[in-house]
Amino acid sequence: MPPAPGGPPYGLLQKLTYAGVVFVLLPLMVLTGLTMSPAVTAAYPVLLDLFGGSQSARTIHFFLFAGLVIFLIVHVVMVVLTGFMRHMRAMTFGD
Amino acid sequence: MKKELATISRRNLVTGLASMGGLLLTGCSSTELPPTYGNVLRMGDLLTYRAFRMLLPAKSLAREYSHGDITSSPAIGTFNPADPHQGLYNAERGPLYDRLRAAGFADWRLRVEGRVARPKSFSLADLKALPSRTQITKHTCEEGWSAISQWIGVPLRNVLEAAGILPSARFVNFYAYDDTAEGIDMIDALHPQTILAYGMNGRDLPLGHGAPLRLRVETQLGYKSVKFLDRIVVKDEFDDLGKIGSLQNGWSWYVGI
Repeated sequence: MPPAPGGPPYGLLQKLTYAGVVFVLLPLMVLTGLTMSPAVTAAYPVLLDLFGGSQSARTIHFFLFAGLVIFLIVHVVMVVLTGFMRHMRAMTFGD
Repeated sequence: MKKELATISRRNLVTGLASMGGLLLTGCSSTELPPTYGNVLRMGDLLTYRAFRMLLPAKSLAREYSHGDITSSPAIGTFNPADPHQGLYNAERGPLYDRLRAAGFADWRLRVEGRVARPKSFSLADLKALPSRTQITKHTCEEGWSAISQWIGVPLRNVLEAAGILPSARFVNFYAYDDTAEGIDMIDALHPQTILAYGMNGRDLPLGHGAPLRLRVETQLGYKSVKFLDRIVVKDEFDDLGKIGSLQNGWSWYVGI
């Protein structure tokens, strides 16, 4: 992951967190969501085995949601604290 | 009993809040129907439906469970169509239901009409004479709970074929003895697990669960499985079923979800 433009490089904890959100939390969010659908689990019953049934998928889905909300809050607070306008410019124009 | 009442008031609450949202948005006089925001919400429903039909195979069976998995199952929504205090009570069909039930449903008939070659009336005995299907499946409620029960009934497909489905027919609508109606497409209607259930957990269908006959649609959420069936109408075109249908009450029509 490249360093934040004009700032210090991302720390190890940040890198781990972003990787966790993108590669673990979000895919699991989608899969547990699909496991709550009676039409989808009829076509792909493996989802029920993977998450231990639709109700435990629902519980996992809830905690993933809570995790994503906590991530979002910390993420936005850090953006604001490290130069909100600079980050917005970097996100929009690339630098 | 508390649970059922809570459900009814929740439905009213959701409808009420949705209507309030419409008032805030448009600033015009009240309407009984929830807003669709220029049909944007219904477009979402349609998009979900089309995506599911495009991406998923039509004939996959919902998981079936064993006897040991059967759980208790709450009777929610209307639990007696003859009770005038129920939220969806119908003043015409309620008393009729009361008389039919008092006679052990001997005079009860299921009418199958609309786009069929031979409109028919089925007694309970007629339906029980058709080949039956027994399935132990999970009822998933949109409120979040689920319950596993055994259902005994006749596949809807057999009943529709006995009446002769016309080639142009695409939707099947179900009307109950209370103010409930729901519709499904022909794909779900012909699904092997879509049955008209007259038995539950080895007994006759109990009053609270829709005696004498209810629909079971195992590939959609629980509210599609209409209780207290009165008649079935086969249609060529989509029909939102007006004020007793799910759409105009702010609920999705397709709930494979």
